[in-house]
Amino acid sequence: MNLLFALMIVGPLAASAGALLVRERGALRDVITMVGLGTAAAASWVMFGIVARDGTQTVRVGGWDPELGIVLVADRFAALVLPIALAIIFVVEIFAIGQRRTAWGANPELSGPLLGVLTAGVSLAFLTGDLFTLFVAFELILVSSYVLLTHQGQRAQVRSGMSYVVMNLLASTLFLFGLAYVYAATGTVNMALLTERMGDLSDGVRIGIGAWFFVVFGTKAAVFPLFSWLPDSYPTAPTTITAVFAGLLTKVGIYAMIRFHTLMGLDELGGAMLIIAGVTMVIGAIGALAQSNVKRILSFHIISQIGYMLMGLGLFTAAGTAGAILFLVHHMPVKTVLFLVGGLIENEQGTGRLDRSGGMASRRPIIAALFAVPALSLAGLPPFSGFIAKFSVISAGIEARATPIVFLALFAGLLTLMSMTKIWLGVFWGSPPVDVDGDEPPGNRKTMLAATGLAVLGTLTISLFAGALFDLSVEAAEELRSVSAYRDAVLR
Amino acid sequence: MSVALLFAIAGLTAVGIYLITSRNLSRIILGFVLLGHAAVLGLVTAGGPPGEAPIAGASDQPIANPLPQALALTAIVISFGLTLFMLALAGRQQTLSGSDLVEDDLEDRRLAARAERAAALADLAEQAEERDEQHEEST
Amino acid sequence: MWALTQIIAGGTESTAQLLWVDALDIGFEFRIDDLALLMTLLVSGIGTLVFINATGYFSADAGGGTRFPATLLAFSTSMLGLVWADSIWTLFIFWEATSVTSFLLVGHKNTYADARNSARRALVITGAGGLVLLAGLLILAEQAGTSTISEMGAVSGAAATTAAVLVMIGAATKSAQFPFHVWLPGAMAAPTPVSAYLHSATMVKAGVLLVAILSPVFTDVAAWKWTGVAFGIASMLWGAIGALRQNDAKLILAWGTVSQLGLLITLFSLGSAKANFAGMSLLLAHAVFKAPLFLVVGEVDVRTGTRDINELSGLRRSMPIAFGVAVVAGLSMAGVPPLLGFPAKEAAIEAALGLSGADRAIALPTIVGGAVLTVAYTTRFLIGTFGGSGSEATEVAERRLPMSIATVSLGALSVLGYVFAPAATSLIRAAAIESNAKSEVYELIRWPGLKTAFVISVIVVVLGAMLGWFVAQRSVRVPDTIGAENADGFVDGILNWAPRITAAIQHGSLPVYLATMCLAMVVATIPLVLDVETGHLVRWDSAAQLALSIIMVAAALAGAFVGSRLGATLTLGAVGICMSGLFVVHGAPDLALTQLVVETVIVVGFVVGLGALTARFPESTDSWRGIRLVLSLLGGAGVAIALASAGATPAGSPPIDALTNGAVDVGGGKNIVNVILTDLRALDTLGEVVVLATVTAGVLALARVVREEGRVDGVEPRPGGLMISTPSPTVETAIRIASPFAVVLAAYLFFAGHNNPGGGFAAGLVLGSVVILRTVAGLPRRTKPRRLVTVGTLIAAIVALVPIVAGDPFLDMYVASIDVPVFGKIKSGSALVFDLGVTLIVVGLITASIDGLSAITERVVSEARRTLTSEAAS
Repeated sequence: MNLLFALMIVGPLAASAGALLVRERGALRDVITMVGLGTAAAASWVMFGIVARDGTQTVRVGGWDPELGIVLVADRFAALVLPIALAIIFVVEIFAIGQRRTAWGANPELSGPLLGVLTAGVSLAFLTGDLFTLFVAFELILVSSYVLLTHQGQRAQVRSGMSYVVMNLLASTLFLFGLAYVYAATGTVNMALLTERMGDLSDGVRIGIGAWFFVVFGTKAAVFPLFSWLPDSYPTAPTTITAVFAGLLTKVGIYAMIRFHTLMGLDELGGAMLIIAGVTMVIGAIGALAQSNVKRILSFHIISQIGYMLMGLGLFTAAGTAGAILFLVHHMPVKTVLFLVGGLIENEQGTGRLDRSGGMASRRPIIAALFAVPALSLAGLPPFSGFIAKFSVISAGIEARATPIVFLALFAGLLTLMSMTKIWLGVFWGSPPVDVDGDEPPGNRKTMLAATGLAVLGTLTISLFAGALFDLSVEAAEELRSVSAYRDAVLR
Repeated sequence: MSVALLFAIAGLTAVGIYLITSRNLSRIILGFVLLGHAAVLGLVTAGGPPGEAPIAGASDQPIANPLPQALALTAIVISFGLTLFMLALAGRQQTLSGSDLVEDDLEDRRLAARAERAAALADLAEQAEERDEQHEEST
Repeated sequence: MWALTQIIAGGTESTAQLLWVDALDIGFEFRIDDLALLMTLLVSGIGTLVFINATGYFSADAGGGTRFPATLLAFSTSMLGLVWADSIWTLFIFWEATSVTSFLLVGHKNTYADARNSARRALVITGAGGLVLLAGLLILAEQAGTSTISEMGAVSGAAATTAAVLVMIGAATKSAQFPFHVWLPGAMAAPTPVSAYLHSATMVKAGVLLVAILSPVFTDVAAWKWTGVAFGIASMLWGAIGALRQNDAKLILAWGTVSQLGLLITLFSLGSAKANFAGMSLLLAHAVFKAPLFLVVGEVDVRTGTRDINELSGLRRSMPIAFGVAVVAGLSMAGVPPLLGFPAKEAAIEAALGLSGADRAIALPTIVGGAVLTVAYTTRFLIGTFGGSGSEATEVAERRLPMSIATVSLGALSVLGYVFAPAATSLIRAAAIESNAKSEVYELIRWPGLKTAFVISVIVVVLGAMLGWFVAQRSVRVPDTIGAENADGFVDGILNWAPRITAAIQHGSLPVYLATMCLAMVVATIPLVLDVETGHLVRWDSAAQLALSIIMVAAALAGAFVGSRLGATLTLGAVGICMSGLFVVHGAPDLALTQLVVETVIVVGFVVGLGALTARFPESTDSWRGIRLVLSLLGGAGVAIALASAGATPAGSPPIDALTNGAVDVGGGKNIVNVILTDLRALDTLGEVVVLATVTAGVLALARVVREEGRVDGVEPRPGGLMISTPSPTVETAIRIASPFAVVLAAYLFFAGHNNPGGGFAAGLVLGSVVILRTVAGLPRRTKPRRLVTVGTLIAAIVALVPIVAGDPFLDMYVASIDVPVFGKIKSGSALVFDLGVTLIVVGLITASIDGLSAITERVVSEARRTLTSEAAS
């Protein structure tokens, strides 16, 4: 486990540094990055196997006592989500290599190493049992995404990158304040110890800390009204970057929220969370409907879907948490794939604007099919994973008698379907735009198609094994909610 | 916990918030530096009362809590890096726009303009309809 | 598809199961009973004939390709899945699948805006219905305690009522019931074989089927019956009236379908056994007569190029086969013997007669009225399409064999169904028993004799024919597509409102976003602020602390309101120095040292990075200064009070002694903070230096973009850029002399760090300052930032990984005692190597920043100069 953790956290960093050392030699650089990301992904899958068999695994970094040092914890929740996240980064890197020569502009050698840093950050964020290390992990993720977003220096990127950096920087600062509150109240930042000590605090302090971290994680997760950085910044980045961001970044926020608020037993915040979840899912879907650019539509969908995950969490029942976890597992790959397809579309016709698109279904039926599967899944239609995810969250809502949020969720589902129809009508149906030329689109299309196809297959696999995944989500949710399992595993 | 430190935290935070909500990038960055200071002071304050420097064996007096100091140091350095990055980004923005003012997002403004145009068109259509009706009534 | 029929024809009842999501009870459960068998016959039988017909239909425009048959096959499969489903979730899955495939089929001719809109409308309505249905089924499953249809008992109660209404609404959207019927006429944009198949025989029956199979479950729920009857009657009448007002032959049939579906829903939701049997009979009869009628219209369309009954003329002579089929199927629809439609309609009237009380008072007149209208629009359809004198006969293209085969075969079924009424009866009765066991006593009656129902039938036919003939003689002003407009208006309304709502929220203004976040933050402090206690507070720890705090806040305030940029930057420096002072007073020398150097570098960064800007901030024009002030005060107070509140009664105490012992005994250092950074929490430090390394990469990347732009414009950047203002020998010499000392100082800090204030960061920062000074003076320096940070990261990563080889936890630090001259005995080891990586990265970052920032600034200035010169030139 020690080795696995190191491969997921330190390995990608070493690979990034190594790749930058040989940055003049493109092929070698790509190989080093791929090896780093590949072993990290492989390690996460092995970890999944071990945790599924033996339960929660921990490593005390540097061998220090949990009260003094940092503990890394792979419980069922982390072990379920992390492998999917790392696999996504790996697949996107393949796509990136196909696309790189054309769409990358300046500084193409940076994308691989930066993805390595991102990988390390994501692994650390998912595995850490220490609240301050979570802060550091967030910073790793954010700084690599800041640079990924802005390193080409285009005007739109710099402008939207500024909102992105500034808003997330404020969230990071708030995180530090939150750490100060936690430390002042409990004298520790170790999450297992916190689960013990938070219970002894007065309700005001406990709920206040919960609310504060809801704002912090909520900004990262892009919930209403803290999502503004997302739809401005995502569409301006190159496809691969947006795809990774879309799949992972907000999800790290929601992951942290599920872990923190469930472990700390902050059920009192459930009502507020449900209200915000409802507004988030509807506003996100409305925002998507308002857009006329593929990537912007997809960006707003992320917000809407975060609402569903928040709904699952806000119910504070085992079924709800399980639904949120399954939604997370389903959403990460599906969203990534949709952005990859969005990239294919842009690559084919040179734009993602709906008013300059059309007729793709007859010209490029493969792309239409690659789009249709994740789009239907995202809209929550059977027989895809999105249906099961939505189903589990909504049925948990009905079980908990949270009727208003259930109807909002259904309504948002309709709006999502409508906006997917908007893309379909705009891009795939109708006549091709007049100025479409016969030029071969740029980039290595085979690699890009292959990577996208692979990812679509991945989402289909998730759909196929939705049953097993749901069982795992239930186990993970029950383990999270019975806090003692986590506490014992860390402190024993 | 010392009120003086809390006052410092409150003051830095207030000025920081005031600065980051301005439209000027230099001021926004200044604001973040101040907010970062406030957060770091918060961490140190949370760690307990002052004491001797945490060097083992240097003094018989109780030492200050070293852990928040380590955390604060990490936080300072991270803020340091990010401040430099923001400066570079602000610089890049200047090469593009010639100023350090925050620009609104174009797509969002475009959308708003479209929405306004659509609303205006709808109003026009309504007015035209009313005119037609009046016309019909008068004939 | 025939094969499938063969398989299931073998046994009357077989089941199959395929688990998917066991825990949620979602799986593929199939059970083929007699009702499913009847539906299967329709789906696959009519499907086959429609396929045959489609080969003829598409031979003209060649637009079929492989896409069409593939989609149609996908639809058939979904439809079969739907009728075989024995779990409401299986049913729902295929229900949605039929919506999606229908969307694709309706929009088949997607280069036409009309087809696209119709497809969208159909999907939105059936999709919304699907969601309502989902909610209804979820409640039903919870109430019934199972999702298996055949195991469900009757439910009752408030929740069951909600479920019943929701399910009924879902069914009504799919079966095009008023007011959701609006998608169906639009769906006529689909190729006609699709209309014949989906929009008459199969998909629209899904709602009816759902009502039929769930009727036993909702038998105790009054709302079920009444919503069903209300939907049914409204659709029956409105649909028939609509059919009389259309001139497009296909639309007449579509509106007729709405009407017929209304009758079916009425019959199935009435709940009596007789009505149930009548419903089953009509279900079969309708499929058998409506499909050929559609196919005939398709043939007319293909062969004449129009479907407008005002334009069509004389077709009874030029298209005799089609005419024959139309007459047979049409009369069956009108309920005239000797055709299958007759006994079916007879059964419906009988069923209405057999009711009592309010049921009868409502059902009988409406069913009879609906029947009259049905005869009327049938008459008008036949006269309009095939009538007219031969003089102005429409030109007709050649007949296509596949189309005729299909229409004739389907048309014949209406006759056969009447002739072999006992066989049809057994099929229908078996199906009817599935939804109501008491239906077994009924049969299709070929010739009832002079009974009440028959008399009513005769009157209906006569009245209807007269009405139809009357309407056919007059030209009808086609109403605006009633309802469809409203549905599209709803969709467009959302589409129009969406940008407005979005523009109000996502307005693109960063300051407002940040203010929103600060507001959220203030709200989050409320629970803490309300819970505040003051017992643990002291006024100040020392006078110096108080003084420094006040000076610092004053400096910050000055910085916020000073108009000069340089002034603001300098106040920043003052704040930093106060911070350092506070750290010293608090007993945190490491923090003080780091803070001091960091602040210096940042001030330099500000000066360099923003050097190209005007000396003063532009006049502030913002109108919301008041809001900002309030927010700032609330935020500042909230944050501080929250901290006081959090620290009031700590639930645990920090392990200071354990930390001290751990640092000395295991970490091998006396400077506890340093040991924490390089050993206990080395993982944090690793992350932190990678953050710095990444920032380095980012700054260099931006600088490179800027430099390349400059190169394109022909401006070669100088190393150090603007920073070398006027070379001054004195300064240069001073820096030359100072440099080695600074390096020695850095080395001292580096090695001493483990036991005394200092360490890798401080050393790196001091070295970085040397780099800055030398850059400013234009002196050479040998630091390559990119190399520094990559090597630094590698060193740190390797130190982290090495312990794994020895089987220790990663980032475990090894301690050794080394005797170093000057510094004495140093107990240190891999932590020191780790710290070396840190130092390298810090130096790299500072170098990159000074270079990058100055390159960017230089570019700004040269741009400005160029603009000035070009303006002057012009």
